[in-house]
Amino acid sequence: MADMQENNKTKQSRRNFLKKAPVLALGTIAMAGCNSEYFQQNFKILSKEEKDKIVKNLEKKYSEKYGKKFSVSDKPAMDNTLFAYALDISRCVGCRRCVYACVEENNQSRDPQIHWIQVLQMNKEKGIDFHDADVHYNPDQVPVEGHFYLPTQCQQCENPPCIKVCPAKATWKEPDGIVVVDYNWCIGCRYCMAACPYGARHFNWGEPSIPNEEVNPVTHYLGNRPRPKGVVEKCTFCVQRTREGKYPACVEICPVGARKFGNLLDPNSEIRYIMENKRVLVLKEELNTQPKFYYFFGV
Amino acid sequence: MAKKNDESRRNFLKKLPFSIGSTVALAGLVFHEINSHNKPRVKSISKKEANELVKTMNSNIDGKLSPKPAPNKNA
Repeated sequence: MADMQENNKTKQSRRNFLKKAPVLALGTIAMAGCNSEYFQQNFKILSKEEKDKIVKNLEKKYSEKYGKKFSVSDKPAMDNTLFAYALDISRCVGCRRCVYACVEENNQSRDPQIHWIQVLQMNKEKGIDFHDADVHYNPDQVPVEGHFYLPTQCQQCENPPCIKVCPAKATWKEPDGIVVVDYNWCIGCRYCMAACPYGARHFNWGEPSIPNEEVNPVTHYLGNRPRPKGVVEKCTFCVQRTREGKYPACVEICPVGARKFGNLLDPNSEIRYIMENKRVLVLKEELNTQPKFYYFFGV
Repeated sequence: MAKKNDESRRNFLKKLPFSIGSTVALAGLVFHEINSHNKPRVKSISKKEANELVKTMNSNIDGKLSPKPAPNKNA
């Protein structure tokens, strides 16, 4: 009797297994066919070979999507480099050319619209007052009498509050001082947006749309590569350009030369000259975020 | 004599954590100073001073430019 019961049990268990086998097999096939992005580790701990493989996959994916040959760089920070930015408030005329150069260079979504740079128009009499600032100003000609302009973007803080709150460690400060986001690792919780006192981070609420003919195919994994829906993005000091020894797009486009950029550790750099010879203003200094984005008055 | 020695040892042990703490802090400061010697010191300006400068600044740009479109209201 006991033997029969034991035999039944074995049969039952075999039947159960055979019932589940097709589901398991299908699951395994689906997993194998799945995009390897889902099984990717945090970019910081990937080996060179793993990075190369991911970059190649992304290049293929973007090239197919946009019908252009894409390059995705994973170039690391250079030695003895600490990037910083300076902006001459007395020169800025608020023409927003920097905003649109940034949009084009960094593949920002046109609809829904994302702008990493925001130019604020402020009243000269009231001074620097964010509550009274107007980002939607639209006169025929700028600068408008009695007003001045304060462009804001990621301040690339030395002590960034945004990276401390990220539960997934998907955002961090690189050795050259640039705060970056791993878009494949970001879970879209937006804690970093809440923590940033400068409103510099933006969330992709919808699938970003970039016209094929306008997309910039020269990209960096941590910078301007097209982002998916549901992740946070921000200014990276044009990491794809600056790590190749070029200026950020906003610096190049500025028609009045209000924007300065360079390596703080290079004693002969323009940024170093400004730091040593001008008195500079950092936004919300009392928060001890230690921005590497300095405002100054040239005249 | 033994009691005095005990007392002095106890006092020494009491102060030991503070001595270690201050030595570590001092070493940390020296290390930080050595590491940061290459960075320039920031001569910062207060917001009040900046607001005064804003009022008096003269833009040296002649002429005006047409601005690029304003961002969408919902952006």
